[in-house]
This record gives sequence, C-alpha cells and structure tokens, in this order.
Amino acid sequence: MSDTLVTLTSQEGKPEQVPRRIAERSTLLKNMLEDVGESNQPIPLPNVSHKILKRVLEYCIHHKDDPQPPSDDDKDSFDSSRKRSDDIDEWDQKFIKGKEEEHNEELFQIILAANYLDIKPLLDLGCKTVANMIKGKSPEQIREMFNIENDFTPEEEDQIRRENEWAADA
Amino acid sequence: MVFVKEIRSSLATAVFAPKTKPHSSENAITLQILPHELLTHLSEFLDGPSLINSLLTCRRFYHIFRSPIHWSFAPRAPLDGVTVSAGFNITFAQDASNRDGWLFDAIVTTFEDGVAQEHREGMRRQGDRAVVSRMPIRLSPRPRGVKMGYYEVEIIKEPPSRMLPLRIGVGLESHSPIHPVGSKDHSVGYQNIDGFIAIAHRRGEQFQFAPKYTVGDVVGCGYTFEPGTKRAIIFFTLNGSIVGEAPYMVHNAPHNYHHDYHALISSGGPAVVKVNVGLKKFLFEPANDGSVPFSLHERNATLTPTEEEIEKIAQLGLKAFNMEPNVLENAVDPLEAPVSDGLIVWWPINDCPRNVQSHLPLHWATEGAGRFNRQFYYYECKILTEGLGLNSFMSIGLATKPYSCFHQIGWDAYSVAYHSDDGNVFHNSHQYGKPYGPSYQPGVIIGCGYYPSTGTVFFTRDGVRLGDAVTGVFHKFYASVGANRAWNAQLNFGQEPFAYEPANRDGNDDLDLELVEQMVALDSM
Repeated sequence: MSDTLVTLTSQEGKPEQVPRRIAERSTLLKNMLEDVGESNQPIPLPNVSHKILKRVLEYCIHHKDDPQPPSDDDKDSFDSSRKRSDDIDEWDQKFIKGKEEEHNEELFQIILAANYLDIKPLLDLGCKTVANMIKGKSPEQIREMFNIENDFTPEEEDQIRRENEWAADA
Repeated sequence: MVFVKEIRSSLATAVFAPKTKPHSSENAITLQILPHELLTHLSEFLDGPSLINSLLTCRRFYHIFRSPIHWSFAPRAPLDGVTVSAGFNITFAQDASNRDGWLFDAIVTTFEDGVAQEHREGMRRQGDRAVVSRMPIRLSPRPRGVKMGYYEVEIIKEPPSRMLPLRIGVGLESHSPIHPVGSKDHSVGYQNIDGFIAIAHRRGEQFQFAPKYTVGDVVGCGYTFEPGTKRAIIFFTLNGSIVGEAPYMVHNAPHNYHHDYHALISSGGPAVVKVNVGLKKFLFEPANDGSVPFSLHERNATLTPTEEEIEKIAQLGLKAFNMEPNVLENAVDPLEAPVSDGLIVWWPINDCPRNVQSHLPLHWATEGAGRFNRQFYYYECKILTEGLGLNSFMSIGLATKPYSCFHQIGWDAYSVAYHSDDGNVFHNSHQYGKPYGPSYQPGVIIGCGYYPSTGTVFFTRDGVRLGDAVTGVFHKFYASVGANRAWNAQLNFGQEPFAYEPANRDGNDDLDLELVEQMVALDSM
C-alpha cells in the first residue's frame, strides 16, 4: 500500500509522481490521504512552485526512513525544549545550501513550503540555517544580507540602540 | 492542523501586504516575506546577541522579536520530574527519596598558599535539577532606561527537607541540568535553607551571605555593570530590598563576573516557584523605573555637599552624623537589626552579621564640626562589650551606600575595615584579610581616618596610629561598623575629644599650606 504513487500538482500545474510514503513526510498530505483514502486524483498544491516542490521532495526522499516527529498540537508551545541551531547534519547542510546565486530566495521559499506542507524537520532546518546566517552579524549586515529596509526614524533607532546596548560591550 | 490554518492567513498577508522597497531591483527577495509566526519560530533559534541585532533591523522585527516567549524557562532536553507551565511556573517534582551521599564529577587537587587542597568538582545530590532561562537576563524585557538585567522568583512551595536546598541565581546557558546553581560553570546561587551563597568559581564553596528565605518570599537576582568600568556585579534582593552582592573576591584573586548570564533556578527536591522576568511589576523598584538612579555604589561621587546639605549640616551640627542601622527597606526584616541611639549601638544576638552606617558621608562630619582645614576625616569607635561565643567579631571601617545589610564591613566591594577577631584588614574581600594590627577587645578605642587626597585609609588603636591600611581608594565613604552576636559600641565623630590627638587639632598634623591658604581665602569671602 505504501508503494502506491501519489500525484502532486504544483503551482504551474505540472504533475509530479511520488510514492505515498515519501508524500507522507508531509503531515498535510498524510492527513489528506488518510481522509480521502484510495484515490488516483492528483493533489493540487497551488502555493508551491514546481522547482521548490522538487527540492522539497528531494529532502523527503533522503529522510524517508526517519521516525515521524512528535506532533506539536498537544504541547504548550512555551514548553517545548530549547532550540539549538548548531545540530544540522552534513547532508542537510549541503541540501539547504543549494545554488549559491539564488540561495536566499530559495531558502525562504523552502521555509514557506515546509510550513505549508507541514514538514517540521525541514521547517526547522530552514530556520536554523537563517539563524546561523544571522549569528555574529551587525544589524547593518543583517539588513544587507536579507534585503530588509530600515524603517526606523533616526531617533527611534538611537533610542532602541541605547536601550539594548547598556551591556553590549560585555 | 494549526499549521495549515496559519499558513493560509499568512500567505495572504505575505502576498497582499505592501511590499517593502527592495534595496536593489534584481534581488527583491527579503526575509520580510516570511509571515509573523514563522519569524517567531525562527527567532527561537537565535541566541541573545543575534536576537538583539535582528530586532534592530526594522520595526516589524522589533515587535516580533520582543515576544515574551524568549524569556521563558525550558529545560534543554526533557528533564525528569521538572515541568514548566506557561513559561514561568516551574514545578520540581523529581524523586528525591534517594539521598545517600553526594555525587561529584571529579576530584581536583590544587596548591593554595603551599598547601595541597582537594576539591570535589561539580558536587550534587541525586535529586538536584536546574532550569535555565532561554535568554540572558540582561536582555529581558524591561522599561526604558533600566540598566540592569533582573528577575524575581516567588517561592510557592519549598523542598520538604533542609537536605534538599532550593537555589536561585544566575549561570551560563550551558549550565548542567543536574547540578545545583553555584556548583559549576560560573554560576552563583543564593540558597533558601541558610541564606548561604554558593559560587562556582570557587568550586561550589559556600559563604554566609544573607537571610534565609521560605514560602511566600520573593527573591530577586540582578546583574549590572559598573559605569565606566569593565566590572560586572551580581546582586540579590529579598522582598524588594537589596541583600548583597555576590562576592567577587574570595581569596587573593578577584573574579570577573563578565559573562552572558541566564536566570537559573535549581532544587534538590519537590518545589514550586513562579518567575517574573519583567512582564509584571517587580518588587525591587529600580528595576521598574529607569528614572530611579541606581548604582550599587556611588563611585567617584563628588565629595562636596550641596548648599542644601551644608545648611542641614550647619543646623544639626554633629548631630547629623548619627549611626543608622542598615535595614532592609520596604520588606519584613527577617532578623533583628542593631539598635542605635545615634552614637551608642547595640547589636542583637543574631548569628548573621548586621551593620550600622553613618547618616551622612564621613568627610562631611568634619565640616559639621566647623573644622575645614583638615587633610583627613576621622571617627572613633569605643568597644563597650564583646559579643558571645565563637566566630563573633566586629568590623570597623568605611563603606559606600547601599551596603549589604547582612555583611561585615570589608567584605563587599568598596569597603575597608579592621576586624576584631584576627586584627586583619579586609578590603573588598569576603575571605582574604591582610594582617594589619593586633585584635581588639572591650575598652579599646579604634579610630578610622581617610585622606581624600590620596585615598588612604588608616586606623588607630587607643590613640596610636597603626599605619596605612589601603591607599588609592576614592569613594564617598560612610563610617560603617558591623558585628554579630551582641556587641555594644560607642561612636565619636568629634562630639568628644578624640583619643588620637592629631584629629583634635583644628589644623593638620602634617600641614598642607596651600590648602590652608585656599580655605582661609574661602572663609574671608
């Protein structure tokens, strides 16, 4: 049964066939398939471009044998264990790095798609990668790296900086 | 399926929200396309400094990254028996029935003063559990202008036995979840059962520190920097009043408390505590209001009284220099405080030391006495009766304000005192005294003088000067005397002739002619 193929249709309408157990890495698809039962109907994914879908599936194929992560629903989000960003394994590191020139765009798209498809480990991987990129950078460097527009007035910026810098030379 | 619902709304905002102006047209993708909850999720992976740098980038991030979730408590990995609900209510429910003996990580041998000492590193009990805050306390949410990291803990339920202490303090983020606060990794912990402080840079060594605390008390722990220096100070409060600062010099080497400290709470047995990191009002007022000037010590403060103060001194004369018991303000003092009628002071029978300080800085006393042209400022203390039992002693000297209510003089930073038990002078040190003079007993008159020009402190004994105790310390010093267990002493600021003759002279024992000329010129104006 787990060998049955599932058809996924990306934003562009391009179908992509994957074994059901690969598709089930996504909690969204898993629940959907359970609800629908046996069906050959393609599943439309209007929020995911074909290119990103291929990347996400590449991740799912590599991690097909991982244990399912525990569901977050029954846990108070305050109580989940503390997050670390330095525990990315080698394959994931290489995977998320992707092609250099469109790294950021692809990274954000993967994070969005992982969230939409509800693939928790991939979402965390994306967030950890961004967190690691931010680490050790100044606010100006972060703005430049992620194309963030500074919309503080100079007075506000000065005030916020002072608020947070009393111990910055620690 | 929380995620699906979230993503629908967030995608809508991501698509329809007005696009921020990109820096360059070819690279229009920005971190801003991520919806709010994903940025919140992302921010949980950031460490303190990264979080601060990120929230400085733009308005949206500023609001998202200041979420209280960052300051909540969480064990790094599931910890047996410990649960945290709503982020700030910590329940220790570990099994502490197995109490036989101590566990420790290693035995380390060191040579101190030529003596080999064995230290058990990382001492703990079976049931010890510690939880640490996600973010360093210096980044905790606090009102504008408050220049300290601070948090408070209300004790709801304490461990059932004296053998299983609760400790509140600060430590590094990487603190072990099974070691008590103050036993490892630069942590410092204040203990409930006896009010001792445990400091990890002394391998968990404990010192008499402050009163014990129990159910219903609110213990605060803060961390601040000395303005203009690189020195950090960790201090503790009890029910809103400062009880003391962590000893940074316990031997001949000072310790620098310069780390990114996280709030850290440990318990040896079942206990419940409630933490406030600033989302509610603190009992300790300077942590609520940045406009309340707060400095643990008035460093390099101007030594000149204001006109108002001069007037007050002129009115009161030497009466302005009464000794005041150093008590916990706006809190129930758990111990009996010394009693003072102004110049005669009686100490209660507490084991814990208490102290008295002069109402006004010592150097104003001389001005109150109308003797301006003097190089040193001076007071005397006559010991009337001795305290009871072993380990009972007196310390006479100078300290800044505020000073810990529960310490002998000389133990905390910016204090210096001559101790009665060993005749040593203690200067900014909890443990290490410098041999200075003979010990003293009832009947002896100890004098203490301070040269503001050179920052020299000296003591006298029955009118005989003993030599310089320290030199080069410049602070706004108050006459301060500490003791434990029923001492009784009489102070003299010049109301009566001093035993040390030079202090009675209107001029100086060693005349500074230039200064005298200046003073004469001022007087004739």
